[in-house]
Amino acid sequence: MSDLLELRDVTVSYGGRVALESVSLTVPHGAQVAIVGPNGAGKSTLFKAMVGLIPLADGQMLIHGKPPAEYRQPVAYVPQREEVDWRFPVTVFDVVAMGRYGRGRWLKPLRAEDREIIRRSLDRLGVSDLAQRPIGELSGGQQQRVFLARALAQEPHIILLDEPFTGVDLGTKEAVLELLADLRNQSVTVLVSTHDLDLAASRFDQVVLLNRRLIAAGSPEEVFTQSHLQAAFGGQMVVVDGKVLVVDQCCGGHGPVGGTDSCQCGSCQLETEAGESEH
Amino acid sequence: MDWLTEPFAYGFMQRALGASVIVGVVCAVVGCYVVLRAMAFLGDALAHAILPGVALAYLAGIDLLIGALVAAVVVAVGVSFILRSGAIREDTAIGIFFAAALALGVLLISTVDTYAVDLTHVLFGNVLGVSPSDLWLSGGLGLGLLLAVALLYRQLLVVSFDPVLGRTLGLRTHAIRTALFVMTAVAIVVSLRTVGVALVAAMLVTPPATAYLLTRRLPAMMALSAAIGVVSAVAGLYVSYYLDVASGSAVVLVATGIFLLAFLFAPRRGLVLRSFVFRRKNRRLLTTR
Amino acid sequence: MKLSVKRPVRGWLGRRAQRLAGRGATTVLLAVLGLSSLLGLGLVVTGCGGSSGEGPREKAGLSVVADLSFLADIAQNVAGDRLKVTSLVPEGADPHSFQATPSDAERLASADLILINVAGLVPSLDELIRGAAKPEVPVVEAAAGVPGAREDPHVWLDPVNVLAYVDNIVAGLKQVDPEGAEVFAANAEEYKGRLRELDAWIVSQVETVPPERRLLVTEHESLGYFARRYGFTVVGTIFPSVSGESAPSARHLAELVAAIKSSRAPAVFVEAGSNGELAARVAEEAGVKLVSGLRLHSLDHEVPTYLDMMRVNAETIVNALR
Repeated sequence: MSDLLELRDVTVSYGGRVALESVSLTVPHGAQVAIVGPNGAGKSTLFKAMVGLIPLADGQMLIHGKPPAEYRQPVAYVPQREEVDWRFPVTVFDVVAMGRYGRGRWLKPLRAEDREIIRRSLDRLGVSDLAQRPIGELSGGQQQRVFLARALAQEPHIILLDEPFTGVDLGTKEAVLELLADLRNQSVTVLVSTHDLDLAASRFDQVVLLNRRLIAAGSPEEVFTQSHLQAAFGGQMVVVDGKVLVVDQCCGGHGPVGGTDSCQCGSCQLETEAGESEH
Repeated sequence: MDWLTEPFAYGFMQRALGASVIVGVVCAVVGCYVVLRAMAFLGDALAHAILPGVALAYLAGIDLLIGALVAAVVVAVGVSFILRSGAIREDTAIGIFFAAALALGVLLISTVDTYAVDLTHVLFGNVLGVSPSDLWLSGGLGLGLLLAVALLYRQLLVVSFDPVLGRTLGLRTHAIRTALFVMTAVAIVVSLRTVGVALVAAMLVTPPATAYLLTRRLPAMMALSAAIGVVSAVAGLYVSYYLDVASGSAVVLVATGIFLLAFLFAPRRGLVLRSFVFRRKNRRLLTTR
Repeated sequence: MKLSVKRPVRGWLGRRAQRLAGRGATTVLLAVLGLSSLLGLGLVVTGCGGSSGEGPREKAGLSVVADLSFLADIAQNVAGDRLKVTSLVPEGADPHSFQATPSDAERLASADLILINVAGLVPSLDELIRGAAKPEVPVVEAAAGVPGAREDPHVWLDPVNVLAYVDNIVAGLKQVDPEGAEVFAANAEEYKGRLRELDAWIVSQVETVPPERRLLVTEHESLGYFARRYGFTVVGTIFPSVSGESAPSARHLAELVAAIKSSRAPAVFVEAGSNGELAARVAEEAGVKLVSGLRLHSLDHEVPTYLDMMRVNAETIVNALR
C-alpha cells in the first residue's frame, strides 16, 4: 500500500519562533512511529500542525497523496493534558460519542452503528463500566483512557498520541500498550511522542528523532546512533561504559517551550552497540 | 380551589405568568451555558452595557429596543473577539466591556442638554406591566432561541467542553462561541424589556446552578433548569399575590429558595448529606479500632 | 436520585425520553412534561373562568387612578363625592423607585379612568399602566395643551398651569361619568378659585424678596415653570438633565459655583428626602446655605394636598431668599 502519510518540507511557527523547520518524512500505512526528541523539539507542535490546530507556514501534508481536507477527520489527536472543562456535565459515554460527530453529523441522532463503535471503543480501553459516570469524577488515568477511546471512536486514518506514557499510572500505561498492540493488528497508523527512549527502541518499528529539524528517521537501530543522539540532545547526553545515558533536563533547565507542558524528570538509558562511540 | 385561580383572573396576572414562564424557560436554558462558562454577571452587565445603544437610538429618534439590541450584539461580538487570544477569561472580558459601554453611554447622555428621559430604566420592564405585544415578541423570540439551541446543540457542547476537539473536527469554534454570546445577549435584552433586570439576571443563573447540583448530563441540566424556572415563576406569582409584594422579586426569591434546598440536600453534592456521610464514615473508622 | 442504578423505564414515551437524555434525566423530562400540562390545564381553567380584566376585588362604582399623589388630590377635588380617586404611587414615595405589587396592578386593571401628568415623566409607570390597564380605558394626560410639557414635564409647579389640568380632568371625568358633568364643573370652578388664590398669595410672598435675590439653584431642572411664573431666575442646576444616569462633569460644577458666586444667589435648594451630597458640596464651595424641604413630586403626611405642597414650596423659597 502507498505511504499513508507524507510530510514535505513542513515548517511551522509557534509563539513567534520557528518551531519546526523543513521537516520531511513518510510514514507507511499501518506503521507505529515513535516521535522522540528533547523538550521543545517540536513534537507537540508537529502533532498540532498535523491536526490543523496550527497552520503550516510552509510545506505540505498529504494523506494517501491527498491533502487532509479531502477526508472526514482523518487524524485523531490525543493531547497529553486535555484542556477541557472538567466540571462540565458530560458522562464518559457523552465524551466518547463526541468522536462520532464531525462533518455532516452535527444534527442527526446517533445510529445503532455509532453506538456500537462507541461501546467497542470503551471496551478496548477498559472503561465500559464507567460509561455513565461524569467525566470529572474519574481519576487522571481513567480520563486519559476515555480520551483515547474517543480518538478510536473517530475511526481515523492516523492517531496521534502526545506523551501517553508520561505522568500516568501503571494501569493506564498498560492499557495504552495493549491498545497499540491491538492497533497494530488492525493496521491503524499511530504516531506516539514520548520521552522514553527505551520504550521507543523496544516497542516501535519506526522512530523519528526531532529537534526543530528532522535529525533522523527510520528503524531504532538506524536512528539511535551516538551522533544522532548528540545532534538531538546535545549536552544532555553522557556515555558511560558503552551505554548512552540521556538525561532529560526539562525540569531543571528551560521551562516548557512551545506550549508543551510535558515535563518528566528522569533519565533514560539506551543501549547502543558497544564500540559505536565516535567519541 | 378558588385560591388557585383567583390570582390569574386578571389579564395582567395572566400575562405576568406567561411572560415569567417564557423568560424563565428561555433564560434557564441559555443560562446553562452562562453558568458553565462562568459568565454569571452577564445579565447585569448587559443591562448596563446597552446604555450607549439606547442613547444613540434616542438621539437618532429610532426605537430604543433596536438600539439596545445593537449594543448588546456589539458587546457580545466584542467579548468573543477578546477571548480569541486566550489570555483573558470570560468574566474579565465581560467586565471590561460592561464598564466601557456604561461609560460611553453616560458620556453620550451628558451631551444631551435638555430634559432627557431616564434612558436606562425606560428599557427595563416590569413583570406586572407586560402588554400582549410584549408577550408575543418574547414568546416568538424565545421559541426561535430554543430552536437555535437545539439545532446547534452538539456544536455548542463540543465548543464549550473541548474547543481543541472542536477545531480538530472542523468546527469554527470562534464563530460558534460568538453565536452563543449573541443569542444570549438577545435573550437577555428582550427579557429585560419584558420583566426587568432583577428577574432576568436571576433566571439566567439560579435555576441552572440548582440544576447543576442535581444532574449529571447537560440535557438533564437544561430540562431541570427550565422546570425550576417555571415552578419559580408560578410559585413566585402566587406568593406575590397573596402577600401583596413586588412580583418579580418574589419569583427571584423562590428560585433562590429552591437553590438553597438543593445546595443543602442534593443527593451527592448537598452540604448536609455530605457532612452526614463524612461523619458516619469517621465514626465507623473509630469504632473498629 | 440514585443515578447509578439502571432502572428500566416502561412505556413508549418513557423510552423515547430515556434514549434522548439518559437515565436520570428521564424522571426530570417527565416531570417537566407533567408540570407543563398542569400549567396548561390551569391556564385553560382560568381562561374560561375570568375574562381579561374583571376580577373578584371589583368594587361597586367607578374608580379613577392617578399616577402621582398630588394629581390624585387635584382630581379628587374635582370629582368631589361622586368618584374616588386613588394614587398609583403612594404618598411619600419616590415615583422613580416605586415597586408595583399585584394589588397596585389590580387597581389599574379595574380602573375606569386613568390620569397621568405627562407621558414620559416616569417611563416605568407608563409601562405598568400600558400593561395592566384594560386597553379600552381612557388615559387622560392632565398636562395636555400646556406648552413645553414634553421638554420640561414639571408643569404642575406653576399653579396657573394646574388650571389647565383641571379642565382636562373634567373632560376625562365626564367621559366615564357623564351624569356628573354639572357637579364636576361646579367643583372645578371652586377649585380653580382656590388655585387663583394660591397664585395671588405666592405673588405677594415673592414681593417680599428683593428682586436681586430672586435666584434659584436646584438639583434638577424642575423649577422652570415656577421661576417663569413668579419672576425668578434659575442660575443653574447640579444635574444638567433629569436622566438618572447623567452625572455632572467637573467643569459643569465649577461653572455652577462660579455662576452662584457671580450672581450672588443666596441658597441651593434640594428636595425633602434627597441625598443632597453633591448639592451640599456645591453650596459649601460657593459659600451659600443649603436649604432642603422642597416637595416637587409627591405629597406626604406633612403636606397632604397640592395646595399645601405649593404653599410649603413657596414659603421655603421665600424664607430662604428674603
